[in-house]
Amino acid sequence: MPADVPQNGGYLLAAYVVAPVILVGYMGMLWRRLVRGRRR
Amino acid sequence: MTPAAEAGRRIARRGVVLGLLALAGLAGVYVLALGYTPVEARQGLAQKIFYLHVPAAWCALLAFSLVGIASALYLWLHDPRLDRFAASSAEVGVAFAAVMLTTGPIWAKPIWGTWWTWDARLTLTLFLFFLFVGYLALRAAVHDAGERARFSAVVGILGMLLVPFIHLSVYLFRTLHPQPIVLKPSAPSLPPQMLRTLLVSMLVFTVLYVGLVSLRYGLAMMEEAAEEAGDAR
Repeated sequence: MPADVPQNGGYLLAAYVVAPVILVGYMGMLWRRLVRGRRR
Repeated sequence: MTPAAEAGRRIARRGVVLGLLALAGLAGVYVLALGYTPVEARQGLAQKIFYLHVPAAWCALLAFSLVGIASALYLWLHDPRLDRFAASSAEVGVAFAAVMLTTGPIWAKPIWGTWWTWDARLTLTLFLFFLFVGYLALRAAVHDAGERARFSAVVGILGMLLVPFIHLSVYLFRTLHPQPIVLKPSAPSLPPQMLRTLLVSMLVFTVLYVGLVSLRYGLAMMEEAAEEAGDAR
């Protein structure tokens, strides 16, 4: 990467962690409800 | 298990499979974004947030538009499946909107120098998010199924009316937010690698939307069947 390109990889890392945490977290919540419903 | 609960379980299971496929696809999008697309010279690595932010925005606006359409059809046809779909799409839309509203400021900080600005695009999007959080709160607060479906259908239709304003807000108002680069009258203005990665990501996010809505819809069917069984006892 050329030296004059902005060095802001930390923001990329933050976004690439936050997005799957929200989506996988939501899917996990639905999954738990599904398992609980199946037990009932 | 009743036939309705069994059907709900089948739909939910299909949703889980689609969701897991989409999450594997998301890992592929990361590989493409980090290894295949070039680093943008002015924005640096932060520009690659684009491959999550734009598809999340696409899915949120798609989800909320479909809530409005299903709600309008519900008020006309009174089919409970439409209400169930609207509720599922609204909840999934809120999850995608949360991704959009977190990745947006993370991208804005290094490029605009601020996490947030109260311009038309950002403010309207935040209002849309709050409106659908309110939609979900309304559904949780009303216990009569018919009233719940009618009241929330009206809110769902009003929410959908915000979507075209959000899309056009970058033309109608002065804003820091960039104008559309794919969904616009002329050809997309992106280098081919960036465009291909974006399209793959939009496809993966759309599959994830379908998977999550199926899972949520199937769950709602199972829960309704359990409630009916409880009432019958």
